[in-house]
Parts: sequence; structure tokens; C-alpha cells
Amino acid sequence: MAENKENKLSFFGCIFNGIITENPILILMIGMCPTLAVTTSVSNAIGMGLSTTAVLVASNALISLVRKITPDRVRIPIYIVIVASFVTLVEFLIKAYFPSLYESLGIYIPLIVVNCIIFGRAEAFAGKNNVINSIGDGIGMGLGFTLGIIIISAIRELIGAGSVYGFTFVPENYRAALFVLPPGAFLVLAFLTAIQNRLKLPSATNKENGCNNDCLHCTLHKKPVAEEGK
Amino acid sequence: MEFIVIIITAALISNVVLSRFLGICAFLGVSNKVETAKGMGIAVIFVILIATAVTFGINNVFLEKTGVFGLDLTYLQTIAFILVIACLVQFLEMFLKKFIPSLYKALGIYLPLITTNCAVLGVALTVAQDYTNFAKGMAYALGTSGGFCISIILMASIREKLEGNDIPESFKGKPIVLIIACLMAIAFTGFSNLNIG
Amino acid sequence: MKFSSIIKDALMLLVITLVLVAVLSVAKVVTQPAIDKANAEAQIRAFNEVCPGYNSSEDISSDVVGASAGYDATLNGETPVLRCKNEAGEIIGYIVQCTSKGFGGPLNLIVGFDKTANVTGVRYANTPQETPGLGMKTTEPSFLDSWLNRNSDNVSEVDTISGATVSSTAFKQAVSLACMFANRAANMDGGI
Repeated sequence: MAENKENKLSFFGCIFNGIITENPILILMIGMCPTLAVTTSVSNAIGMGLSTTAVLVASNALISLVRKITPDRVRIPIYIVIVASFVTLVEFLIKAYFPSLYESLGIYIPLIVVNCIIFGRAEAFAGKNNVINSIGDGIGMGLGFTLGIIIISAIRELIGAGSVYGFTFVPENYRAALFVLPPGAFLVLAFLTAIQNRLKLPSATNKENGCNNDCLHCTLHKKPVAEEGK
Repeated sequence: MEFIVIIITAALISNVVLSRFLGICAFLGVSNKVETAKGMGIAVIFVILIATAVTFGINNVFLEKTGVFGLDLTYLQTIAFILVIACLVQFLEMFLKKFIPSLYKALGIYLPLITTNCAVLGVALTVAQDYTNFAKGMAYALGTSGGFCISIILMASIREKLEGNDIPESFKGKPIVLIIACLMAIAFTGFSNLNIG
Repeated sequence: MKFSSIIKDALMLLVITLVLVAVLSVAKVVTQPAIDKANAEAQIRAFNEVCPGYNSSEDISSDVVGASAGYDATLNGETPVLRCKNEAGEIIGYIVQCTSKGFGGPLNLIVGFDKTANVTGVRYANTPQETPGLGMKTTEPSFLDSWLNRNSDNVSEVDTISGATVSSTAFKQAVSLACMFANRAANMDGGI
């Protein structure tokens, strides 16, 4: 059934959808844990964003590839195993080639496994669409996620530590360290969503049916697919 | 004494939600009502304690070099733990439904939401990596999950009080919840000056 | 019928899991040398930072072991006390790796000393899990630099950070322990 709708979506359409229309951070507001935890500096955000993108693209591709031979009843454990394997692979690569990134991201790397975006996309998209579109969706959602956390981390780093990507802009006496501390994460996100509300931008915050808090049965994409199929 | 220090540190000083940002989705999403927050909080304590005990065992018996295979398989921790947690939650749901229906009624609807609660995997991984002593690891798990329960119930109580209040239009919905979370996080940083241990 | 389909599903899951675990094991074997190399390089960089001119070292832990009673810290790692040499092979100082219990977890320190057991540098071996803004102040250069040129006689005079008493006291315990071992090592080599 969902297969028929595939031809309505193009590869680039999926990428665009992920970055803009359904930006996971700014519009769908999912994957909040890494969004808040690793956005203390832009370099951390880029590292986290690209690692998540890599996992998302690879797992979307593989899940889509095996979707025809995946028994429906055990599909969720299969998704879990696939995602966890790619996360471990990415962990090896980061350990080997970016050890300082590994130091600063720490436990949040294995926790990419439980990033709602990844299971959400597996359940809502990759399990129903062809490989090309699933890769496009992975790239789009991954980059959308990266973009979202870069924006948040840039604000936090600028106000809290006076710099962006390590380049200092604000003299020491004019910084508010609160913003790189945990409360600052909530504060920045609160104001971002308030601005979205104010400007009536599309966002999970002013929609009735947002995230259902059940990443394994993510419903966030089901509706738009149906609409595009019409 | 040491156990109390571990529990208080995990529950209040480095609170799992407010300073380590694990389990944020549930914290923001399931905190409309104190009743549901209580259910979610207790379900999380329940699952974290069982999951930590099981994954600690699996880690020491199979994955560590000292285990039955004699190989360092700790790189399989992520994949093994998440699979175990998923199965465990499923199993727990069936078990409660069949044998303790009253508990199932109270916690059942939250259980499926917990598999992807990163606090569960986060605690399992932390305990496997940092704790060699089972009792201390369990104390850490209890403190962390207790901290989650405390903060989600506090959040829900504040949100209930906010109902009917005059909130600026732009801040209705998620923004005000995030502002509350911010203020709670500031309050919790106060605990970091506790001189214990 | 129903039972056999369950078996089939379970087999499918098992096969996929086994394939992926096999792939991971191969990836582990392939990336392990690179990971080891990255770790070794990071360690040499860290050693160079606390003990400028560091080129090679030998383990002298077993020569200087002794009671560390009275310290709330212990030596850390398999080769906690090292005698450091420069490129020409001359002894330039010592490195002591030790650990103490901080606020959020262990504080693992690498402390470098010159030939006469004065501190030439202190740094963390891991990123500590201390409270941001308080305990994490112990990672700032101004705090780390306050230990320079101290030795076992005057290390106790270094000020702890008010508001981050637990972290900075734990830090002090670890550095004091390191000073004691460096002193022994320097005595042994006739540096003092």
C-alpha cells in the first residue's frame, strides 16, 4: 500500500523534507536528549550531528533493503539490532580517528541508539519506502538534526562562553555562563519555540498531534505520506 | 554511608533529567498530570532496576574478558543491552498483565514508552562501565531512577498549578514547560554545593 | 502452523543479529590498531604536556611503592610511576598517575615532575564528571597552573576552590600523593 506512494516522493524531495519541512529538532521536536546535552559547543554539535546522520543514513538504507524479508512481528527487534550495530561501528570510527570528540561526547555516542529520530524514521519511513528514498530521508533528517543542534549550540556557546566554534567574540565580563550550564539548554529551546509560536511557524508546539512519546511506534511521518499519496 | 552518597549524588546532584538530559522526551511529554507522571516515574524505576541487574549480569558473565567466553566483547554492550532492554520490557508487560493485573493497570501503558527512554540504556551502560560492585551499581540505578521520578512528578505538579493561568500567548504549550524545566534545573544546581561523602 | 511461523521469525532475527555481530567483530579487529594508536598518541601528547621534552619512559612503580596511608588517593593504572627521559636519553623528570574520588566520579590525574620532584604540569587523564561551573573549575588553566613548581613540602599550601571544595580537595589529595611518590623517585635517583 505504502509502496504505491513511493513514486510521489523523490530523492531530493526527501532530503528537503528532512531539512526544512519536517526538521526533526525545530519542527517535529524529537530527539531532545542529545539536542540539550551536547549543544554546549558548536564543535560538539557538529560531531554529534554528523555521527547521527551517518547512523541514520546507514540504518535507513539497510532497514529499507531488508523490509521485504522482515517478518512484521519481529521488525522492531530487527530495527534495534541494525541501529545498534551501526552506532557501534560509528563509535569505533570516532574512537580511532577523532579521539578528542569521543572524550567530549562520551556516553552520548552509544545513546544515539535511543535517539527517537532514528527509530522514528525506521518505523515511519524506511520500513515502508524504497532504498533510494530512505537514504534521501536519512540524509535530510540527519542534516536537519545537525542544523538544528548547530543553531542551538551556536546560541549557547555565544552567550555562555563568548565564542562560536572556538572563535571568541564576546569579552569575558559580558558572558552568561548559565547558558552553557544545563539550565541554559532549556532556556534557549524555550525561547526558540516561543519565537516559532509567535511567528505561527509550523512546529510540534502549535500542532495538536505531536510526538506520541513512543519512538518505536512513531506516528510523526504517517500522515504526511498519506497526504502526498492523494 | 557510601550507598547513601551514591544515591543522593545520582538522584539530586547530577539529576538524570535536569543535568544529564536523559529521558527528556518522557519528562516533557508525559508530565501533564501528576497521576500519569507518577505512573511513568514508578514504571521507570521498576524497569531501570530490573534492566540494570540483568545487563550487569550479562556484562560480567558474557561480555567481560573474565566471562565464560574469555574474550573482551564489551564492544557489543550497546547492541546487547538495548536488545535485552527491549525484550525485558516486552516480557515485563506480558508478565504483569498475566500475574499482577493491578500493577499492569497502573504501569502498563507506560511500559512500551520506556524501551527508547535513554535513561534506561544510559544507566545500564554507566553501571557496566564504571561499577564493578553489584550493590553499588544498583544503588546508582536506584538513585538515578528515583531522581527521574522526583523531577517528573515535580514538573507535573507545577504544570497542574499552571492550568488556567494567564500565560503569554507565545509561551503556551512547550515553551512554558521548557522554562519550568530551566528553573528546576537552576534549583537543582543548588544541590551541587551539598558537602557529602 | 502458528508455532512454526514463530520459529521462522525468531530464526530471521537470530540470523540478522549474527550477521551484524560478525560484521562488528570484523570492524573491531580492523579498527583496533587505529584505536590503540590514537590512544598511544594521546598519552604521549598528555605526557609531553606535563613533562616538557618527554620522549620515553620506564616504569619505576615497583621501586618506589610504599605506604600511601593518610592520602585520600591512590595510584592509577598499570604503570603509575614513570621515570621520563628526553630524546638524548637523559632523565628529565617523573610522571605519576593517580586517582581520587571527586564529586561525580573519579578524578584521574597525570602529574609531571622535574628531576628535583617539583611539579611541571598537571592534567586530567579523563574528562571529569564534575558539576559544570563548580567542580569543573578544577579543569581551568588558572587552577591547574597554581600547582606548578610545588613539591611535597609546600603542596599543601595551594588553595582549594571555594564552592568546589569536594572536587578541589580530591584534586589536592591526588597531587599530594603524586608529590610524595615523585619525591621518593627523585631521592632514589639522587635528584634531591
